[in-house]
Amino acid sequence: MTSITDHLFPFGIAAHAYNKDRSQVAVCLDTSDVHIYDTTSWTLLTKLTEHDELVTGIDWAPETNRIVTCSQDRNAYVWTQEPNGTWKPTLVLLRINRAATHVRWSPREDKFAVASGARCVAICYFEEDNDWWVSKHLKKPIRSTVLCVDWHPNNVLLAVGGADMRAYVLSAYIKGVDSKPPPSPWGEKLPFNTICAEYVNPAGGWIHSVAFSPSGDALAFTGHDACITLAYPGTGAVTTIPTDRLPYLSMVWINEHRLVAAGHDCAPAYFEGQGDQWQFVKALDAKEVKKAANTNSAFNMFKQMDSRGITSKNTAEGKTELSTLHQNTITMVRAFRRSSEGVSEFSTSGVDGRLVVWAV
Amino acid sequence: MTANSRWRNTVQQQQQQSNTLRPYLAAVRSTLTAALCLENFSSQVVERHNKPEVESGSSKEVLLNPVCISRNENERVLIEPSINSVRVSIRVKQADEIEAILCHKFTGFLTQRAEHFVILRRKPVEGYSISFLITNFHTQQMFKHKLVDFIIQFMEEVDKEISEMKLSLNVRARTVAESFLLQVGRQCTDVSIGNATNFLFFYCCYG
Amino acid sequence: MAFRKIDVDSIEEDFFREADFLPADAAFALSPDEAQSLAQTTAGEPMSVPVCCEGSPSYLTFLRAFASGDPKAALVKALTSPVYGSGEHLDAAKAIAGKTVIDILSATKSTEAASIVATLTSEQRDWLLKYLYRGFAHPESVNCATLLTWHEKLVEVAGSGAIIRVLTDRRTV
Repeated sequence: MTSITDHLFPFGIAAHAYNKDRSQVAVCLDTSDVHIYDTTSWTLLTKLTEHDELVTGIDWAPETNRIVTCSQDRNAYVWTQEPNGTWKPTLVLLRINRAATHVRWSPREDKFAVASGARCVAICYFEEDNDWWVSKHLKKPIRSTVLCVDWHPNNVLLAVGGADMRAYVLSAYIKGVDSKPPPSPWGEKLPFNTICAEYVNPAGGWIHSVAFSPSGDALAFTGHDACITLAYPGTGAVTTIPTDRLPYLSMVWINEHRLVAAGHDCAPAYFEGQGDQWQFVKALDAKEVKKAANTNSAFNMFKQMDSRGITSKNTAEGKTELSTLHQNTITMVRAFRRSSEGVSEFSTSGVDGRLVVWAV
Repeated sequence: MTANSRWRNTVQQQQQQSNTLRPYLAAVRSTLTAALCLENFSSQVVERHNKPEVESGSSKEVLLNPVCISRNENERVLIEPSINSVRVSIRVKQADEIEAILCHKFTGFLTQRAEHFVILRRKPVEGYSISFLITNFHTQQMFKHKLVDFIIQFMEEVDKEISEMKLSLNVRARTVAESFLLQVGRQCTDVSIGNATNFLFFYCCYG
Repeated sequence: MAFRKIDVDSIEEDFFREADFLPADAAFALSPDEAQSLAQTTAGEPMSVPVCCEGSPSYLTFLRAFASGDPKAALVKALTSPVYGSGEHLDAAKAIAGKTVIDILSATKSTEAASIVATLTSEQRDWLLKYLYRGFAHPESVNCATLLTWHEKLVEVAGSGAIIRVLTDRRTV
C-alpha cells in the first residue's frame, strides 16, 4: 500500500489524464487552461488554451492519441497531435446551453459522452460527411445537472449520475457508428436513449461518480451521502454501504470484487465483495502509507514556511498537516497500470495539487 | 432577588456554560467539516454563471437540509450547505442590553471590512449576529480544516471579546461616575446631598 | 415587468420538482389519516398510551415501552420506525415523535449514552442524529447540554458520514 510517485504542483488539479504509455499527463488547473507535463522530468510540454472558462473534464484516448476537454463555457474540443508535436483543437458541436461537467471516451474511442448542466448528456461522434464532431442528446429521464458518466465495455451503454440523486444506465447506440451489441444483463434491444436501469440514492445526495465493473455486469455509484451502492442487474442485488467518512468523488474498479474510491475524505478507500456482500475494507491514511521518498525535514519546514506561511510552532499546536497524503479533496482516481488480475496501480489528483500513483 | 443570589445564579450559569462550550464547539466543528464538502458548480439556471447556490437558491436539488446547533436559547449556529457554498450564521450570546449593543457594534465593525475577512458575509442572516459565506473557491485556496479552525476560533474569541468589552465598559463607567461624583461631593457640604451622591455612586457601580 | 417574474423553468417538463426528492416507492412512515389520528390522540399527553390509534402499531409500542420504563427499547423502536417526510399533515406527528425521542434521551443517564449508541445499527444512528438536529432547532423546549453530549458520543461512533446523511437525506424528521 505505498505511493509510488508523488508530485506536487503549485496549483490545484480538477482532473487529470495520462497518455497510453504514461509518459505524459494532462492536468486541468482550476482555470481555463490544460497543461501537459512529461512524467519523468516534470517539464511543461504544452498548454492547451482554447477554452475561456474553467475546464471541468478531460480524457485521453490511448489508442487514437486524442484528447477531449470540456469546460464551463459550454464547449468541448477534440485535440489531435500534429506531426510536429503541437496539439490542434477541433470544436465539437455540443448544442448544450449550460456548462459541460464531465467527459469520457467510449472504449472503442469512436464516441465520447459529455455530461452537462443542461439536464442532458451529449453523445458525440465523428461525421465523415461534414468532417465534424456532432452530437445526439440523451435527455430522458434526466432532471438535473449531470455530474458523471461512465461507458460500458460494450461501447453502447452509458451510466449517468447527477444532481437529481439518481443513477441511470442509458443506451447511447448510434446508428452507423455502433454495431449491434450482444445481449447483456442490462437488456437486449437497445435503441438510442433506452432506459436500462434507474437507481435512487436512498439517503439522497447527488451522484458524484458512476462506474461499470470490468465485465460491465455490475454498476457502482457513489453519492454525496457518503454511501457506495453496488447494483447487479443480473440477480437484482443492490447493496448500499454507508460509510462513516466524507463523500467520495471518484472511483475505479480494480477487479470484479474490489474497487477504490476517493474524494473529500482525502484518503483513497478500498471496498470489497461480490453480489450483495460488499463492505468497506480500509482507507489509505498515513498509518497505511509509507512515503515514497523521505525528503529533508529542514527543507520541508522552510518549504512549508514559504508556500503556506506555516511555522513549526503552529504546526505543533494547530496540526496543519492532515494525517493523509493528500492534504485536500481528491478530485479524481484513474487506473494507471493494469495487470492480468486487473488494475495494479492507480493515480489520484487533488485540490492540494498532488498527483500520486499508488500500488494496489 | 438579592445581589448575592443573583451572583450565585450567574456563577452557576457560567459553570454550566463552560461545561457545554466544549461539546458545543465540537458539534459545530464536526458538522462544519461535513458541510464543507464543496465542488465547483456552474449554475443550471443562468448560462455561464457560477454563483453560490445557497445564496441564489434557484435550484432546490443542489441545496442540502439546513441544520442548527444550539448551546442554549441565545447561542446557536445555523449551517446552510449547498453543492458549492455553505452559509454559516452565528448567534452570539447576548445576555443583556449592553451585550446586545456591544455585539451589534462589534459585528458591524467586522462586516464593514468584510472584504478583508474573505469569508465574511456583508449582512448577517436574520436572527443571527454574524454570517460567513464559504464557497468552493475558498476551500480550494485554503485548507478546509483550517477554515473550520478559523470559525471555531472566532466563536471562542467573540464571547471572550464581548465579555472583556463589557468589563472595561463597566470599569470606565465606574471611574467616570466616581470622579464626577467626587467633584460634586467635595463641593457640597450638605449631608442630604452627600447621602444622595452616595446612593448615586452605589447605583452607578452596582446597578 | 411581470413577465420577468414568471418561473418559466417550472413549466418545463423535465424540471426537477420537490416531489422528486423522495422516490415514489419511499413509503412514508404514516399516511395522512394515520398522522392525523396520532396527532389527535396524543396531543398534549405524549407520555400516555393512546387508545384509538390503530394506524401505527409500532409507534404505539414504543410509547408503551417508554411508559413502562424501558427507555432503551423505546429508543430503538422509535429509531426503527421514525416518522418522516414532508407535508403539513405530518407536522403534528413529527413533533410528537421528536419530543418523545428527546424525552427518552433526557431520561437516560449521559454515562449510558456511549453504550446505547454502540448497540444501534448504522441506520438507527442516522435517524438518532436527525432527531438530535431537530432538537437543536428548537432550543427553547429542550436541554441542549444533553443533546450536545449525545451528539458528541454519536459522532465519535458514526463519524462524518452520519452528519453528511443528515444534510443530504430528504426524509426529514
